[in-house]
Amino acid sequence: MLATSSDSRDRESGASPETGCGPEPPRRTRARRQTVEETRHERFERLFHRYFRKIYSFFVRSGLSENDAEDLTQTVLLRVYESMDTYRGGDELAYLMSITRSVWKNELRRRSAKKRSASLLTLDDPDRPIDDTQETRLHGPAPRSPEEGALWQEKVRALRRKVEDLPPRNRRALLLRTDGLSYREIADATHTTVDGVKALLREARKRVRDDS
Amino acid sequence: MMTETREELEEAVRSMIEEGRTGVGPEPSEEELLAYHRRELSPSETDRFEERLAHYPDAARLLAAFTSETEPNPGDPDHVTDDREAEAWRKLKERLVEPRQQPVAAAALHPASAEPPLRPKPPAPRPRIPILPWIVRVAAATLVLLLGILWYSRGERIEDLSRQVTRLSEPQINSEQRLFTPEVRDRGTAEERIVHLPHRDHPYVLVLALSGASDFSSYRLEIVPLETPKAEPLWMRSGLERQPGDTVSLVLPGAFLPSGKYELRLYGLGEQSEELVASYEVEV
Repeated sequence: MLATSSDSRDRESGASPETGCGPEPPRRTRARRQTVEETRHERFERLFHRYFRKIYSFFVRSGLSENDAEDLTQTVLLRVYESMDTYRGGDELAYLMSITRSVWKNELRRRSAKKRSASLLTLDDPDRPIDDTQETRLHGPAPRSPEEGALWQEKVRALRRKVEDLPPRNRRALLLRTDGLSYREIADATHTTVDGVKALLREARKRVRDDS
Repeated sequence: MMTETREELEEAVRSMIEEGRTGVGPEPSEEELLAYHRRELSPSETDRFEERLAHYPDAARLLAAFTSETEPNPGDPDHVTDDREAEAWRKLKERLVEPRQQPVAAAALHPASAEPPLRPKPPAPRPRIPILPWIVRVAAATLVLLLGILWYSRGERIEDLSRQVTRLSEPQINSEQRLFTPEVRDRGTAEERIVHLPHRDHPYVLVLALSGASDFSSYRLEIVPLETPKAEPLWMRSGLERQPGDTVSLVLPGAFLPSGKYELRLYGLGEQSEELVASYEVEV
């Protein structure tokens, strides 16, 4: 996909060995370089339109604002553009995913260095839990007293035992959902449908809540 | 009936994920994610991979984002309109036009951003002179030159050998003869007993006189270098017969012996023994 394709524009510009005689004058060399850059541009533009929305979706779903997500998406695509000449083939999708992941990890490290949580932020997504907050996800509710803290820990341990006892598919769906993935994301990632994910989660919550 | 809060459930799940990662393995690579997505894994591998994926939600999100076949709904936060995509392309293209000069800070795109966005790493400048092709050309030319010199030297050596063979094949005139007699062995000083042979192209005819020596049915002649202690003979030939005139002769190519001192040894060969009949020192 990233390999060089034949460029009809190159032939149309007349910058071909057949038409020339003798060494190329400098202005033809510049014209040829410009034509090569245009070919690279055209290849990159195809990549952009193929992957922009996917990369953007990942960053937005990971918790960034729309503006930050678009900035990081541009960062990913710029890296792709700069490395196009050294790309040696292979799975194009894996290549884009790799760069996206790398940029995301750098962003997490940068935010962590600024003493901000790297966990998910609240999103205006009807699928997501409404009352998620960063502090709650990281630290749990502020302990009211040592007794309440101990009770809370006991509840967490009991819940964990119940989750561990769930059937594998239910447990996995619950893990992904609790960590912030939407129904659609879980369905796309695990060969299921949105309705299938909802059914798995319904069953999982029912079993966890039942005091059996 | 026990009730749980969302926070308690999330805490339970988070601890399960963090502790479970040591058991399920590292975060899946892009290739593994795609192999799973493309259903290239066996059923047991798929089951293990799904358990692993559940402990790495970021990887699951990455896979979902890149492989989803459905577009986000207009109300979804990751929904992108065609206009927005076109605008994003326009802004990106501006940064591509002058990639070497001044990367436009992403903050300029969105001044209202709460945080300064990441700046792309400026690309390394391209060298104006392509050095590597020149190095390759110089190395190739040097190699060709060396091979040519070797080939020419080889050719010269073949020519030289050919000349020698030709010379030896043709009738030899005025070949220098050296006669080795008992009188030579009996000369006064050691230096006087040495026979000097100037190094030259033409062969020598060495004649070893056997008058007065015991008669043997056959002889062995050896040329032994004297400067190497206990050296093996440089050349030997057995089965020589005494010639008319009680001599044994040897045609020695002028270039056969390198410069140095040698001993000619003539052995008489009996049925069960051998006897040194004569020996002469030669210096080339």
